[in-house]
Amino acid sequence: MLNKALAAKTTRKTFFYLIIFLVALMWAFPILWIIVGSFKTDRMIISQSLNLLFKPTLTNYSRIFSTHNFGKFLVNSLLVAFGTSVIVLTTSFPASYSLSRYKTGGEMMTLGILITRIAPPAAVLMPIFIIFKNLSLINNLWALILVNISLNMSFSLLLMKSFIDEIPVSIEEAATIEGATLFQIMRKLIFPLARSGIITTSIFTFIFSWNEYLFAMVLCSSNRVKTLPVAAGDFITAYAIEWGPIFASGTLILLPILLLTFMVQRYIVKGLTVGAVK
Amino acid sequence: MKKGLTLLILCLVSAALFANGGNDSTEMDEGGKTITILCVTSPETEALKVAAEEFKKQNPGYDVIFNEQGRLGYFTNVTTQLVGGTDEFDLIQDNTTYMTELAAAGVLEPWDDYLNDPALTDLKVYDLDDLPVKLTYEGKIYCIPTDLSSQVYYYRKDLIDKPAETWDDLIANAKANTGTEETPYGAVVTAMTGGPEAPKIFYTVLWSYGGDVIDENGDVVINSEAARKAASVYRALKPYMPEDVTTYNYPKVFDAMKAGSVAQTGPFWNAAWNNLQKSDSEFKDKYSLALIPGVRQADGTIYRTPQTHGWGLMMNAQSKNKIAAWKFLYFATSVEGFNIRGANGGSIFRPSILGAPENAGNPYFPVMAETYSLARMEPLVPYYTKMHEILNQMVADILTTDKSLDDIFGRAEKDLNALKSRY
Amino acid sequence: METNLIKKRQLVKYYLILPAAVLLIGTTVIPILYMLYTSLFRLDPVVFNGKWPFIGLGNYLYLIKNDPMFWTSLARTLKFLLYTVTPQIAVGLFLATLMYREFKGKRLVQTILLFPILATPIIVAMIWKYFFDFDTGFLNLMLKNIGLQPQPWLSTKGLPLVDAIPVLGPWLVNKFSLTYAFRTICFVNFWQWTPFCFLVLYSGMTSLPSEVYEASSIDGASAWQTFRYVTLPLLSKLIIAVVFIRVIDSLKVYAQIWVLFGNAETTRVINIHLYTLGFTTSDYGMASALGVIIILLIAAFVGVTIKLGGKGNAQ
Repeated sequence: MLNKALAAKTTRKTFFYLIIFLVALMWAFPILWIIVGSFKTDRMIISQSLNLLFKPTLTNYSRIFSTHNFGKFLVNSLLVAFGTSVIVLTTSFPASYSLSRYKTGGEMMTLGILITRIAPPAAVLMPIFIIFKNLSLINNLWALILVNISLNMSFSLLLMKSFIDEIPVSIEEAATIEGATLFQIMRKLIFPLARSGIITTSIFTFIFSWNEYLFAMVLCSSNRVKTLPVAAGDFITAYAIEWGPIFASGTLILLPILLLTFMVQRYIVKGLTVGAVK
Repeated sequence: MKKGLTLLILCLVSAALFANGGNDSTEMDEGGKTITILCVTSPETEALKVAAEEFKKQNPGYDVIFNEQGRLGYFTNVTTQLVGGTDEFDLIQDNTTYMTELAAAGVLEPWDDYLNDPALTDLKVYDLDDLPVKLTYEGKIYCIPTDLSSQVYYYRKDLIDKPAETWDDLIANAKANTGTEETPYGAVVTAMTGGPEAPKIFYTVLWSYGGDVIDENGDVVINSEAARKAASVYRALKPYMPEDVTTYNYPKVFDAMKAGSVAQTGPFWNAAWNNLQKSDSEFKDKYSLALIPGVRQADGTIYRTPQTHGWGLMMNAQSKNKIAAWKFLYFATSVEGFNIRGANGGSIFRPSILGAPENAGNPYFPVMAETYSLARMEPLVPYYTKMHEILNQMVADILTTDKSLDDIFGRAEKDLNALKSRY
Repeated sequence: METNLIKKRQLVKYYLILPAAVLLIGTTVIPILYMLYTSLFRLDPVVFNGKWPFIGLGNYLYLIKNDPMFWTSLARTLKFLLYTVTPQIAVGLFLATLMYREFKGKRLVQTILLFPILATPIIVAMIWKYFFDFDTGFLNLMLKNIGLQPQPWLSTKGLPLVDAIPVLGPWLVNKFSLTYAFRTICFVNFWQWTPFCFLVLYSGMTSLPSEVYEASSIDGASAWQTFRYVTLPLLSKLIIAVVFIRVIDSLKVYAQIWVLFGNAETTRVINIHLYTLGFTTSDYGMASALGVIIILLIAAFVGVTIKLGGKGNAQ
C-alpha cells in the first residue's frame, strides 16, 4: 500500500519535472540556439544537418564590427539608453516622492499618467517626426532620448512611487523632528532605502530604451546615429538574408540584457506585484 | 554623493551627445570635397564603389563615403530622410519611380545648371543623347539612372530545351517541371505582398496583353479584359510555385536559383544574372536567360513588355557639397563610369556599350540590348506609392484568395479612382 | 512654525514633480495634440514645405469609406488580440500554479522566464524568422530529420486541419485568419509575453493569504477545486488588470510583424497599417487621422473597462 502511494508520488514528481523541463526548453532554447549559432559560419547555419559539434569561429563578429561599423552603433545605443535612464531617474525620483508622500494631484494625476501610456507609438510617430523635423532634430540622438523619455516616464513614476510607498513615513517624521530638511531626507534616507526600486526602475528604463526600434528607425537612420536594433534590422538586405551576422548582432544586443536580467531578477517579482495592482 | 555621481554622468553624456548629435555631418571637410551617398546594399552599389575609387584617383582631395542601409524599408527611409530635411547626404540612391514625388516635394536638386556649366561638364564627351533615359519633372532633369533594372526570363537549360516564348509556354514548362527530382518548383515570381516588387511583375504580364493601370489620359483602366487574362496566368502558375510564394522577394527568388530548386523564373530582374555568375552556386552554369515571355500576336510576332525601372543617384537639395556631388554624378554616368560599373556588377544600358563588338560573346548582352529596347516604365505619378499599395493588395488577392476577378479588379478600379480624386 | 513648514511643503511638492511633469506632458500630450491638428490636412511630401491644404474631416471620411485596409486591419487586430491575449493568460495562469511550490532549479526557471520579456522585440522576431523559415529554418530541419513534412510556417496558406474541411474550410480560414502566417505572428507574441502574464499572476498568487488554502485543504477540496473556487476568484481582479495591460501592449506590436512580414496585407494589423500609411505611402495627414481614431477606440475600451471593473485600474 505504502509502495503504491510512493510510486504514485514519484511519477507525479517526474511528470512535474518533465513539464518544467519542457517549459524551460521552450523559452530558453531559441535564445541559446542563436547565441551558439553566432559562432557558426553562414553555411553551417543553413545546412541541412544539425551541426551540434563544430569549430567555433568569430568571423560573424569581426564582420559586423569591421564592415558594418557596429562599434559606432553600440556607442549610439549606449548613449541613448544611458541618457534616457539618467534623465528619467533624476526627474522621476523626486516626482515619485512627491506623488507618494503628498498624493500630489490625487486620483486624477494617476489617471493622467496612465493615459499617456495608451497611445500606440506608431500613431504619435507622425507628429513627432514633423515636430522634430521643424526643430532640426532629425538624425540627432537627442530626438531618441526625448522619445524614450516619453515612453518610459510614466512607468518609472508609478513603479518608483510604489517602492517609496513601502517606506514607512515614521522614519521621516523621526528625522524631521531631529531637524533634517526635506532634501536631506530624500537624499540620505529615502534614496538608500528605495535602492532596490531605483535599480529596478533604472534597469527597466535602460532595457526598454536599448530595445527601442520604431522611432530609432525613422528618426535616426543615418549610419552616424543609428542604434543597434535598427542596424540588426538592416541585415535583411537587398540580396540575401545573412544569418551569420544576424545571429551575431542579435547576441550582441541581447547580451547586456542577459546580464541585467540576472542582476535584477530578485527584485522583479516584488516589483511587479507592487506596481501591478492598485 | 550619489547625486553628484549622477550629475557627472549627465554632464558626460551631454558632452558626448553634443559632440555626436549635432546635425552637421562630422565627416564634412572644409572645402566641401567629401560627399556622402545614401545607398542600399546591392551589387549596383558595389559597382558604384569601384567607380568611386577611380573617381578619387582622378580627383585627388575628394572623398566619397557610402552610407549603406538594408533593404528593409529602404525606400521609405529615403523619403523620410529627404522630407525630414537632413543635409547629411549629398547624393541618394533611389528607384526612378519615386523621383516624381520627391521632385514635386522640392527636396531634390535639378541637374540642368550643372549640365550646362562648361566648367563642370563637357557635353560632347558626356554624350547626353547616348543616355536613353533622363527623368524630368516640369522640364528639369532630376535623375539620370546609373542602372536600369529590367526583367528577363531565367530557365534551367539542362531541363528545358526551348525557352518559353509565351505565357502559355511558361505554364506548360512549369507543369512539366514541378515536383521532379531536379526541381520541386516549375516557376517562381517575386510575389511578396506589401513589398515594392510584386506589382512590377504583374505590370509586365498586364502590358503584354495590352492592358494598363492608368492610360495616357490619366484614366484608370485596370478593370479590363487584359487584366483578367494576366490574372489567369498568375492563377494558372500558382500550383507550380512554392506554397509560400507570397513571402518571396528578390533575395528569396535568388536563393532558389542558387539552390537550383526552380526550373524557371517568371519575369525576374537582370541583376540576378551577374549575381549568379559571381556566386559559388553549383547551378550557375545550368541556368540561361532569355527574353521574357509575351503574347503571340495575329501576325505571329510576340509582344513583350518588360517592366523597367532605374536605380539612380539624386542630389539632395539640402546638400552642402553640391559641386563635389555633381562631379561624382558626372563621372558615374559618363562613358567611363558606365564601363567601370558594368565590369563590376552594375548594369550597362548605354547602347554604344551594349552593341560593342568586344561584348558579343556573352549571352547577357544581346538579351539585354533587346530587353532595353522594349523597356517600359510604370506611370510616374506623384501618388506612386499609394497607387502601388492598391496594386499590392490586388496581386495579393489574385494569388491568395479565391475571389472572382470581377471583384478584385472592380475594387482596384474603385480605389484608384478614389485616390486620383484626391489629387 | 509647524503650519509654515506644512505650507512650505505644500509648495515643494509641486516643485518636485515639475521637471517630470514637464517632460511627460511635453513628450506625450503635445504630440497628440499636434496629431489632431495635422489630421485635418492633406499632408504629404509634395505639400510638406509649402502650404497645407485644409480638408477638415476628409482624411477620416476616406479612411472609413474608401480605404480598403482600414476595416480589414481593424478586424484583424481584434482577431489578433483574441488569439494572443487569451492563450497568454491561460498559460500564464497554468505556469503560475505550476511554479507555486519550491523545487530545485526554481530560481533558474524564473530567470529563464524573465528573459523573453526583456529581449529586444526585433531580435525575437528575427530568431523566430529563422526558426520558421521554410527551407533553412530550424523547425523544418527537425521535421525533415524525423521524416515529417516541412510546414510553410510563414505562408498565407490555411492551416491544414481547417482547410481540409469540405466546403466550409476556406471560408473559415478567411473569416478567422487561420493562416499559417497569422498563427506564426500570434505565436511569436505569445512566446514573448506569456512569461509576463506568468510573473504578474505568480506574484499575485504569492501575496494571497495562505489561510484560505489551509481552510480549503482542511475542507478536503482537491487541487482543481481549490484552484477554481478559491484562487481564481481572489485573482480575478489581477487577471483583469493583466488582460488590460496585454491588450494595450498588443496594440503597440510593430517590430515583430514588420520583420516577419513587412507590409504584407495579409498580416496587417492596425499599427502596421498606420505605419504604412504614414511612411510607405507618405500620407502624413491620413496617418494622423488613423492615429486619432485608434486613440479614441482605446480610450473607449479603457472607459468601458474602468466602468466594468470598478476601480480596478492597473499599470
